[in-house]
Amino acid sequence: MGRTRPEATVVLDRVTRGYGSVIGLNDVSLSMYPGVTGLLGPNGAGKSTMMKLLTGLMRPGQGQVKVMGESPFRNAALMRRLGFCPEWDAFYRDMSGFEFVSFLTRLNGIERKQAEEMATRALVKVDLRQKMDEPISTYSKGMRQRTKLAQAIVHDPDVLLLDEPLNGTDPVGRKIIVDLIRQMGEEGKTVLVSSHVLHEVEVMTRNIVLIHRGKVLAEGEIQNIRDMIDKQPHHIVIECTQPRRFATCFAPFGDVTQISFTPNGFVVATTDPDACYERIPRLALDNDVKLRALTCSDNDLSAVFRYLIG
Amino acid sequence: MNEKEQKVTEANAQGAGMAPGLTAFLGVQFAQCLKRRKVIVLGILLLLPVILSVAALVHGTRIPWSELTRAVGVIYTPFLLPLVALFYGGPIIVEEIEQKTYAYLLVRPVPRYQLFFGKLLAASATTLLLTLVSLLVFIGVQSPMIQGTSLAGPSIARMATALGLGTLAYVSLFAALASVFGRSLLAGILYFIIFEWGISRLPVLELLSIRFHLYRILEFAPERSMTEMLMPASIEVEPWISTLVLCIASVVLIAVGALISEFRQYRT
Repeated sequence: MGRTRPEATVVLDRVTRGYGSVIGLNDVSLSMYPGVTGLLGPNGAGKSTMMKLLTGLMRPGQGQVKVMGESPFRNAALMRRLGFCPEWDAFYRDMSGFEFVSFLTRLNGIERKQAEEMATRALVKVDLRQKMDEPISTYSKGMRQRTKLAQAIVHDPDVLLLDEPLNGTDPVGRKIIVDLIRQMGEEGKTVLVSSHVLHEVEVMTRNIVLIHRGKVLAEGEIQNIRDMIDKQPHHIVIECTQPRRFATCFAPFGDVTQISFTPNGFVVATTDPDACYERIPRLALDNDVKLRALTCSDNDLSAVFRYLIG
Repeated sequence: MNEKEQKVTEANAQGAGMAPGLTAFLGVQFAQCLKRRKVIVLGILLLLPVILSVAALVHGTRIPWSELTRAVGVIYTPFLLPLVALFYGGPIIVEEIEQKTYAYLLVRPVPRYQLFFGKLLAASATTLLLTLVSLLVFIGVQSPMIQGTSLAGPSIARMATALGLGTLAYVSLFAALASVFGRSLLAGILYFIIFEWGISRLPVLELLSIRFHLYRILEFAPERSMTEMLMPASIEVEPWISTLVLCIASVVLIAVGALISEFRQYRT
């Protein structure tokens, strides 16, 4: 018997939101489930607009936004179950990381002592224990990002919205944040991570939403997206001996739409990658060509994104 | 689940509100108000009457109590108090939106109207503190000279009451204007110039002016200009009525500001 998918925790139903004549989101319908979802798109794609709608900072012009089954706009009670790490680098003047996180924790209706304990735990999780009593103004960009993350996770929310959390982080900080995000996803939290850097998201999740100019271009498992885009020409990079002679062997096949040469071989563009992959070793054997490397340039998110936004 | 985690879960199960965090919120807001650079500018302005008072003391000039208290009607009520209130009341929300810290508050389980009240309270406390300290020092400096002079005029308690009510009314007004227009300082300055110093000098319309009611509470009669001499005299209103009017006006303005904040969308 197949596993039933859990209920969607975040739902956007035909959501449109504009800023005057500029459209932030355009008729977006989307469902997110427990686990980590990557929200990918270039700057200005509508990622932050989506975050603002999900946190209730704004309401949609049209359509419905639901988080844990409720509309987030003016829904103070829902905020107990939601954590938000904004993209902007803003803090209260002269506060230390500890003061900042414990102050915001107290706004959750938690007593001082307990709030301080929770803040300490959250700051330890993001590896800021050593520096937590120092003013935020002395922190590096990466440390400030981790402080923002600490205030977002301090109350153990069910839904975590992280807007460009890896921006400006150093490799160590990046690993801490990535591990924490993965862990929260594994714990069954719904984590939405936005980014315009594709490989950042790739290390956190295989479940992505691609957004561009306010529209969702694709969503789901990366493999599903790959299946969808297989209708588009698929590029296979072949490194071999005698590349020019071997490349001519591909020309008669109808699925091959383009052949271009690289310094070490050539690239075949095909509309039927499965057939093409099967054909390559056979043709190499028949033509006495030694294959050095066979790679697909589409196996990373960058390629997916390139395909979909054109 | 341990006991502490259980408590968090219980707290999370409660409705919205920030009662336990109220002191922290007010404390942070108050501290933020005092840490802003404008404190220095406003402090210098508030120091001017004190400097005048010290100069008179050094010169050995004896200022009668009635004249001293008259300064409250001439300097504090119509000028210093609204100015300080304008710089603290107007930007209570706008400033935090511009600094992009407001989103942290909006994603906490605190109704927006409570955030508005809390910030308004902190702005009012700061305005009152700065103005009252200046006034008390202004009068205090002259205290060695006051002895033996007539104590005709409002008492310190009445002046403090007037300043308190004036603070609440002005801060609420500027906060409400900022909620409506978005531009906190511009709306406040326009109101101040066009209404408080222009339209409200006309008969009957003066009843809509905060300054008019503060004068009534202080039982202060400003000198009238030649133009004003041609117009009917000011309407006589009992101090308690003016007190009531300012209280009601403040409540209405706070409600308007809170309501607008409640439904406002924050693009940040």
